[in-house]
Amino acid sequence: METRWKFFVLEALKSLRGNFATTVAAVVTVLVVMFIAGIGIALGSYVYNYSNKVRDDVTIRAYLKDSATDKQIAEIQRTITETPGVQPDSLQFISKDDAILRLQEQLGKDSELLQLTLGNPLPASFEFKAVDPDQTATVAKAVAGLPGLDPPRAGLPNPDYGAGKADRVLKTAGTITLVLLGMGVVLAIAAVLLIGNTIRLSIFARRREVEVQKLVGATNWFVRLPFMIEGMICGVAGAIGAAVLLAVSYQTLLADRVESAMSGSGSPNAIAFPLLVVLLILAGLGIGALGSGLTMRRFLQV
Amino acid sequence: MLKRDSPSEALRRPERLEDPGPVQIADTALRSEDELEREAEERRRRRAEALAAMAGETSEFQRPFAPRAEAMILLENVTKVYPGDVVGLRDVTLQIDKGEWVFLVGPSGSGKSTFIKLLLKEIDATSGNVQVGGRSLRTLKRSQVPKLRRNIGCVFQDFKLLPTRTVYENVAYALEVQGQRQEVIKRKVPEIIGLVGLADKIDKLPHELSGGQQQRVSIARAFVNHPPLLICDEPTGNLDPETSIGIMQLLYRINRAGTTVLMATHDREMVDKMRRRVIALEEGRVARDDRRGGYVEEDEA
Repeated sequence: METRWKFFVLEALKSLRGNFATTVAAVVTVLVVMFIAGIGIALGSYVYNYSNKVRDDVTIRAYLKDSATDKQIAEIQRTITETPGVQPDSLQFISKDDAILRLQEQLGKDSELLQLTLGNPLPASFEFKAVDPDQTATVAKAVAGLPGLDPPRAGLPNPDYGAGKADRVLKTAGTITLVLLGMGVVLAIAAVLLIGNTIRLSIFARRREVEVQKLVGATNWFVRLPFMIEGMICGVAGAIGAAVLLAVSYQTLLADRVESAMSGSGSPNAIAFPLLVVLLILAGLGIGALGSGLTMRRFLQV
Repeated sequence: MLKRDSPSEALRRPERLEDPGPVQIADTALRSEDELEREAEERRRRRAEALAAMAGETSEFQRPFAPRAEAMILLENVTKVYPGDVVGLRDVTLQIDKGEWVFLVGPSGSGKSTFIKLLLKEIDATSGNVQVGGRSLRTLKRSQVPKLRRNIGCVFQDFKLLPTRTVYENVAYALEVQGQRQEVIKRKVPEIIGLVGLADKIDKLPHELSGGQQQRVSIARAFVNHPPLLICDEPTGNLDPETSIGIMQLLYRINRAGTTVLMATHDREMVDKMRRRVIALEEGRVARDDRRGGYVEEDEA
């Protein structure tokens, strides 16, 4: 069996060398398709993870007036705990001091700046989560407008749960992904056709050989396999090229920025690169097999 | 029962004709016309002798009174109509027995090619039944066609060798296609190439060989599996008469070893001299089927 595979692959390679120009055209097209698909997949997976994270992690913040009385505060706390759908153990009171401490922590070494400001501008707040992230808005509404809460202002809703933040991200990313997908589909069709053309030429160049093969009793698969492998080699070569190109462009263009933006733990991850490469190669194989398969149906009567 | 030769033994018989070798032009130019005439006469005589030596020997396969021999090829009321109402064969019924040698003659377009294509199941009969080796081709599954073709050796006028492969590779191809192991290929291929007399050309490319040598390669390829049936479509059509004789002798020995040989040909001299069964087609019908016929009907000749 091993020798037979060697035979088939050698046949395919011989034939690819035979029509070099069309092979290059097909490989380059696959490369472009796979490059775009690679960006699409990476971006898509990042956005998906990001929006999931945002959605699962919505904290509702109800900011209090500085002038709120203890009674008002107790009343607000009671309302929150009694609202159905609130995670009971998620409720947390953040005093003005807690708020400034937290900000200091976040700012790290820049926190000296805070000492320059006079007083503490941050409000105290209640933080809590809904049991079901999708119920966040309903839960937040139950608390809205209670006496002692800061009245909402334009751009600063109260209670604030980052309404629509996940949706906005998803929507933008969805548009980008859709555009990439559209380009990918068009290019994938082009790639299939170009691989088909390569195979057509190679069928034509080897028609005599095919005739002899049939004459001496080659099975249909024996006749087809070298062409099939030829198409798949085109596809895989393009995919590998695209993977290399993706890796290089990531390293040179994006790596620094992405690393500094995502240094914190728990930031959403895009798809792992090795997995992406495997996906691209599989897609390349598929495109190659499809291109050669369609052409053989038309031009190779076996 | 006659002792049947093994294929290899039959091919090893000393009567093998080597190729006549390169023509010596310089010599020819110096000779007088008389001499040339005499030499041509001598060549004709030798050729006739060689053909006569192969003539109508009644082997166990061909005895006319043989009790119902097994059929290699059986056609029953076979008609083939191509698209556009072009008729290839019209209601043909005939039987060719195992081990027989049959000439298939007839003008171009008389149905010889259709006949051969039907046997290889390159095309299907419009009606009627075609059997090869006892198997009906009508019911033969497409996936079984390669197996059928492995049991039929084919030799063509244009050799159908692969131009970029050596003699060895061309013959090995027939075995590779069937998934034979390399050890088997390495053993069988040089053997058969030796038997057709091309041991010293084994690494040559087809274009480095003469026509007769190329045809020997294609015979080697057709016969490397020892198929029970050998179909030859004008195997000597592109060769000069002397080279043809060598090819015929090779095929003759293959036939002697038990392989059924069906040969479509236009070579009148060969058919007339060898006195074998002749099936003449005309406009798709069997016009004549003689046990020991000539190229044309005896009365006409």
